[in-house]
Amino acid sequence: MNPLTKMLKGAQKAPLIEKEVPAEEKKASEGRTAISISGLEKSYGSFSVLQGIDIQVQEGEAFGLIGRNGIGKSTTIDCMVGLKAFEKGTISIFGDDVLLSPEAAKRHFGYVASEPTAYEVMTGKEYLSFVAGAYGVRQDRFVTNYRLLADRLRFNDQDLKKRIREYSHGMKQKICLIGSLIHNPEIWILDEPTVGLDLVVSEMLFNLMRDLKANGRTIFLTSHNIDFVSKICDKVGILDGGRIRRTIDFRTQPMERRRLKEIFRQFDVEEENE
Amino acid sequence: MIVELLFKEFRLQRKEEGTALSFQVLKAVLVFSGAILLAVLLAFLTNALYDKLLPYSYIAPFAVLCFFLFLIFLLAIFEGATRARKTLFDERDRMVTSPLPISRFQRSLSKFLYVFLMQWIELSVLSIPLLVTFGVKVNFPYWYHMMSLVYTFILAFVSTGIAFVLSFVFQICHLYLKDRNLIQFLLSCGIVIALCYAYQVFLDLFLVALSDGSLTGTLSPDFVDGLTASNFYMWPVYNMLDLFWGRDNVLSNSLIIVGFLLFFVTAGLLSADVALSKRLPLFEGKKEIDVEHFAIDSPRKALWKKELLLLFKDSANTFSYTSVLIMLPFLSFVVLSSLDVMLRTNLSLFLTYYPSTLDAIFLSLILFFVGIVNSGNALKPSAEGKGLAVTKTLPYHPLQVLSVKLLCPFALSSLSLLISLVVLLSTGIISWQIFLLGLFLGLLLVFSMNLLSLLGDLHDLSDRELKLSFLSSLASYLVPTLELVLGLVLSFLRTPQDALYGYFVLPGLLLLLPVPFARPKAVERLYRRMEVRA
Repeated sequence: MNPLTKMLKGAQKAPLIEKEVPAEEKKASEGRTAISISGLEKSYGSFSVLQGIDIQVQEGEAFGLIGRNGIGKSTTIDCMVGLKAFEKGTISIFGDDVLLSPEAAKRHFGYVASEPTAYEVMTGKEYLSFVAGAYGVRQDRFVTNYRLLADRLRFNDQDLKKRIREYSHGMKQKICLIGSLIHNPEIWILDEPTVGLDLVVSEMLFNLMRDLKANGRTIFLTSHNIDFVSKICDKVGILDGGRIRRTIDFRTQPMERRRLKEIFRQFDVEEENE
Repeated sequence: MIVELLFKEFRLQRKEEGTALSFQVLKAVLVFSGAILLAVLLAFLTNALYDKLLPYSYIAPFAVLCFFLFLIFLLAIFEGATRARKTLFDERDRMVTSPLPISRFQRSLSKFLYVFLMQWIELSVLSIPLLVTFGVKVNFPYWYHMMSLVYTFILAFVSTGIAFVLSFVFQICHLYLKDRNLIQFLLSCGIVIALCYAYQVFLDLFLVALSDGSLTGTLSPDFVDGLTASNFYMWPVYNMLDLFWGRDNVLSNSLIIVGFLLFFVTAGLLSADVALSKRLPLFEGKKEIDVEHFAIDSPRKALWKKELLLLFKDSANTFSYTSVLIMLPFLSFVVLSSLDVMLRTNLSLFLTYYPSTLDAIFLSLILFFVGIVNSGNALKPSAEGKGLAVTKTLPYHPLQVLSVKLLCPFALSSLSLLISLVVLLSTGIISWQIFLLGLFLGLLLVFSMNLLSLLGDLHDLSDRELKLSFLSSLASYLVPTLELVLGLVLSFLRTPQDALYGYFVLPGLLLLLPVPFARPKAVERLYRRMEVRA
């Protein structure tokens, strides 16, 4: 067990990094619904992408949304995080409706886009200061969170001086990952997080997700990388034809974890036959 | 291999990767046309100046020519050093070319030739019109004009050599300034003020050239005498002019020119070789970053800081908005004062009958300037590009985000407008009535433009078919034009001046039109509906 996992799981157990959750509170929060999406509909002009999506993610679960290209995975996430408006349905994050109380809902999660999304004109330091400032993160907590995440992702402090536009793709994604977790969110939402990352960084990301999950954090991700999803997720939803065609809970159906690729291919074949 | 490396240097400097060929051709045509226009303007100006100078003294045109060419030479060195710094200390280029089987000499030479070619073109565009005009004026034979090409060719080599030596100093300054935003800002203010001063001097020279009178202002007889006396020290420009066209002191001038050429070309190539030879500490800053003492701002302050960073650190904004913002007081003073003198001198009789004409012209010009300056700010949401996805997923209320977007450029443009008006009032160019009207209408214009820009952008990003972003720019042209037309018509109708000031407010009322569309709920809804692609 590595030192971080020890720290996360040990006596000074702190969800993500340092926030202490009393045992009673933790017990009371178990089984809470972290993300609730029901009847979500979204279209682009006459093209209806999402035709009534229903997803329930419990606190502490890692949920993977998979599906073919252009099927609406990113759109689902965009609707959740407030980047896109939707026509019908409701989305709530820990009970906070994203339309009725969006600011409260946004405080619960950290979001990472498939492409590094940051102000490229800023330096890494300015970007992190901005994001931390937006969440009102205290300075001491910022330092602790940053240190931990920079160590985990092997992000060099000296790179904080450089403008983000000078970063490589991997570095840009790392600064976005750090920015998304700097405020110690309860939910981590990631859209295709492994795109463009090399094997080493992907492994770092995987380990970080695994440790966060072990620490009670909820993870919602989309990915083409079925191996990645099957390893990290407790539950998977297969999106097809604008709806969730199948939900697999690996905790109750452990054998399906190995068969995920096969199941995914079946949907592709069905689609072709149709 | 040198040719390939040279092409690589040109390609590296081309910023618009992947832009359409038609756009590149159009850009090239525009640059070429601009260069021709500049050359024609310089020829016209110097021709008029030589006409003024010849009656004063036979050698005065030569002294002024030598001075101008020396200034161009200094400018070329500065520009060349900036270019040499970029090409020599380009870390990515270094990483790509270092492992390749290319000798360091080839890399140094290609960079030297690249800067040389750019210098030669620039020196030719700026110097040849001056030399040719001078030659025509003093009836030099045709070969004289051929010597102009030789002059720029040799001088480009010398300036490139000096530029390569200076590139180290520029790189040290660059590294020093990189993380010091305040010093950067102060320095850019200084540069802009110096440019404004230079502009004023140029304008003054232009007026002297156009006026019927004798040598006045910048080009006073004392100044010309001073130039004549100090020409000798303007190496190597003076020596080349003296050798090629005066044909005096052939041996000493030749030796000085050859000495300059050999010394600086060798020094330049050696500098390039040293810069590329090993990993110098000059490639990156040394300042350690102290994460433990990061300042984390409050949410509101973080938002303000972000907008200011986007304005002052984005080179697109730095050149289109922030520098012009600083320049506005000087620009408005220089233009309005020159116009004041010209109109009062040449149209005194007309102004006696129609005294309000000047007020109308000045008011519309003030509004026009502030409108143009303000339109350069790119704080509308779409200008953030992908960064907008960051802010939109953060727990900010839309009105909080948008109010900062509205108020940040409003505060900056208003401050610039106020300083401009105070300068104009204190120098007696405008009356206090025009000061108050300019302030009221200017603030209204800036606020309305920013509001229109914001609303139009939010509307357009909501994927509507009808695009409204143009409304902001339209307001910046429409209102000053209406003020001018209304003012001129009313002054021709000999409307009493006090009533005229009242009428001036009328076009300003148009600027209140967008206000009813900016209801908080409606704006909030537009922001939330805005489609952003991460």
